[in-house]
Amino acid sequence: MWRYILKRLLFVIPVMLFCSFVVFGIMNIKPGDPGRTALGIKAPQEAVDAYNHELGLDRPLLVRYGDYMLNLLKGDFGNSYVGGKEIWPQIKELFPNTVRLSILSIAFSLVIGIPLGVLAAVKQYSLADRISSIVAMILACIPSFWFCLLLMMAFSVKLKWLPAYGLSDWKCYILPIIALSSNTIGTIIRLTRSTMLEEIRKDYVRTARSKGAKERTVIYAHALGNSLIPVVTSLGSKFTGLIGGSVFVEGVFALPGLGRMVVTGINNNDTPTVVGCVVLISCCSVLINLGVDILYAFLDPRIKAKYVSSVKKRKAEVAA
Amino acid sequence: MKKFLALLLALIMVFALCACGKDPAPAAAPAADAPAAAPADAAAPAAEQAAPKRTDLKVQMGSEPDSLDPQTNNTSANTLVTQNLYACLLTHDAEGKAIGELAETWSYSDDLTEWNFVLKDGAKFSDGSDLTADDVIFTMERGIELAFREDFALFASVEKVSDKEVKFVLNAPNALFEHKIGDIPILSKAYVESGADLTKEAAVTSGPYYLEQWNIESDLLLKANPYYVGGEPAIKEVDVVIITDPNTAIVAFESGQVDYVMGKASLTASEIETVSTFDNVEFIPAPEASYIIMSLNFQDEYFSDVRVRKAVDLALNRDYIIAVLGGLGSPAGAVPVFPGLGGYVEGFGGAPECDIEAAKALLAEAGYPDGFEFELMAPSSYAKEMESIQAQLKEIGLTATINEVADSSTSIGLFKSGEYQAGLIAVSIVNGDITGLNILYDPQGALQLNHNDKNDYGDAILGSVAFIGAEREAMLKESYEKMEEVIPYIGLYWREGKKACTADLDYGVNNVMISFRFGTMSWK
Repeated sequence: MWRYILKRLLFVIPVMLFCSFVVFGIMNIKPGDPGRTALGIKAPQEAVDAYNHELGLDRPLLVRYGDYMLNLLKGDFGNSYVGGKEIWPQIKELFPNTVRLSILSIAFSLVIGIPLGVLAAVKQYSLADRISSIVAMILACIPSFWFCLLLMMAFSVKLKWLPAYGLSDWKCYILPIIALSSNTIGTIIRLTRSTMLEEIRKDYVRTARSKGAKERTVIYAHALGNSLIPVVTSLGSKFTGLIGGSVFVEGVFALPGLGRMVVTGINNNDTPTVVGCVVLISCCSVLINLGVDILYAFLDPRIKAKYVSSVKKRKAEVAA
Repeated sequence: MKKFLALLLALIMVFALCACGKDPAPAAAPAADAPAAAPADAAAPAAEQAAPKRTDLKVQMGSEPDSLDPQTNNTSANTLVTQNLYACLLTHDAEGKAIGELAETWSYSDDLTEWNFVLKDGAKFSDGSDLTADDVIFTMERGIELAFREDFALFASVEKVSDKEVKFVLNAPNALFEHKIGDIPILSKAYVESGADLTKEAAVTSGPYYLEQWNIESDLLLKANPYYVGGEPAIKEVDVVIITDPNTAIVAFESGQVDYVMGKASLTASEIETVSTFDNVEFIPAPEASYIIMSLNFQDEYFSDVRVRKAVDLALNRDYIIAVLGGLGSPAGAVPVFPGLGGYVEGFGGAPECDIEAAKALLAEAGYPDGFEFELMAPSSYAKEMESIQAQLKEIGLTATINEVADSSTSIGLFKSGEYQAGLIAVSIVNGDITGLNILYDPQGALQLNHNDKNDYGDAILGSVAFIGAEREAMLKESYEKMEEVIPYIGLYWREGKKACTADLDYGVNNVMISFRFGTMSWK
């Protein structure tokens, strides 16, 4: 198991290299002059050229990329082209907000999605099942940008219950979390329903029932665990998407997060900022997927068994 | 099935009830935790106003500053904040006339090469330390060393006459130096030398506010400077909230969470229409010293001919372009002046009357009776203008192919390299004078908007700063006449924007030179 984890951790390196190189390349192809953007339209050309030279922007792409990655390995994310601010302190300040929002969204999605999915499966073809399916379909189809505005109009403008922007207190989290989790809830409901329907028809469930176990025990203690494996897979990709893709929600609700930082960096031709954020997001993506795989092992002992160490295997063979 | 349909309809109705319908609830109400203007109660002193006025303000800005160092970056977002943090020797009154801010008096020699400024008694920084001539000299020397702003190239030296007096010796006579110096914020020598990073710190400032806290991608909290030379501002605390999405900004304004809204940079026509339906709103005119022109490449086979340029100038109906933009703007011609601007001469600055027939005749005379095709280039933010120009020029046989480029820096690059035929660009005026328009001159060649237009009228306009009064006016008049003859570019319109605030707020001084100054704002 540990070897598997180590192998997966090493996988971070090629992923990070690939993502960073692609983004670095795209940012350099993108039209625009960082020096001109930083110094403004009125700055003399000599000042712009000197600024670009100071940043090393007149060197070949591969040389710049190599320098950047060497510094990154030392933990130096570099300085923003605009304003010269260090990038790591900004990421340190904004990234936790994005992670917090993503975790809360996932948690909210699970709390709402799984029970509704289970209910829909257990009460198949009933009114509860139909309502859950409709809700899931609507939530899966709603564009998050439109939904953000709808929530804002309803709860901030009309009802004046919740703030429309920022993260100054706990109330500020409610609308963004609802907006972020809408698609995920829809997916979880449908996925849980379909996997649960498969599980409750299996022999072991029939056996449990025939042994007199309570229905609640049969569903939650026996069937649910097995039906969650595809849900966990889906959550892994959703979580990765939330970390890197909450740009719309962060923009609409004016949340200080990594998504906004990336967009600002792109608009300002600020390559170090964009590449730094992408590297971080790609690392998170690999780690999250690793976490999902490890979670599998706890959900399904058959998967864990594959990674029994060779020593234990040999001992078992000898004993046999 | 019937039950299913009934349920679906019920859900749709719930959504519709939440989102639709006009709510007569007042908009832009003060924040919940702010003291409300309640009627007097028995405990209030009879001689004073019944309820305490608010002393805080929440202002929305459409983009976050990237640096608060006033000497290294002057993007509009940066300037909007730094102009509230730092004071200058001079400022401008409501009519745009220069008045003293840190300077008590100022004088100049007959030949306009030596300028003396005497600082006000009691001028201090926000930490209580005295503001002296040493700080002024330090500021100027730092500006010269950083070499970012061309204003610092104006003077050969700055000398300390006494602790409260400085003398500037200019490289050349300049009647407008009082405008230029009024644009240079004064820094604290001790604060900068202590190692403060001015790009993100402004705890010791000379202006009406200092920076208490900056939450990245969120907000900037400014606190009133109790030692400000103009007196402590009525608004003690300003929360500059960064909301980049204009829809969110409007929603925050409507729900009362911000008191002052500007959308992205100023409100668009549709946003103005939306905000005008709110209660208790006042619109703030945002005259922008920004002039949109269509630059024509003098090296191009078509636009090198003045008759072709004149034809384009006559074919364009500026009112139509402005109407397409929602009415936010005023027509402009080749001479970039308007009443109130330094260098204005009566009879100049307006746009020519649209005359299609005259335009067609000029084109025929130039050898293009059937017109020609050309490329019109600009960032996508000018899409509406380009479409309008394209449609209008079709009437005289000119076919414009629109080329949208990524951003302003890309278009500037094309202007500089000469790889364009026609392009749109906004040019700003600084210092309240026509010489602040950098399309008229550019020693470094950074903005050769009409590419290789070697002209003497630009030099004459620049040279007019060495003269005052009727002499200057005569020089300018001659130059303006030449510009109207040569048509160096097509002046389209002056940008005008609008911002909005709650009607309970007195938004203070507001003109082309001075606007968005929290120190002049107060609650009514």
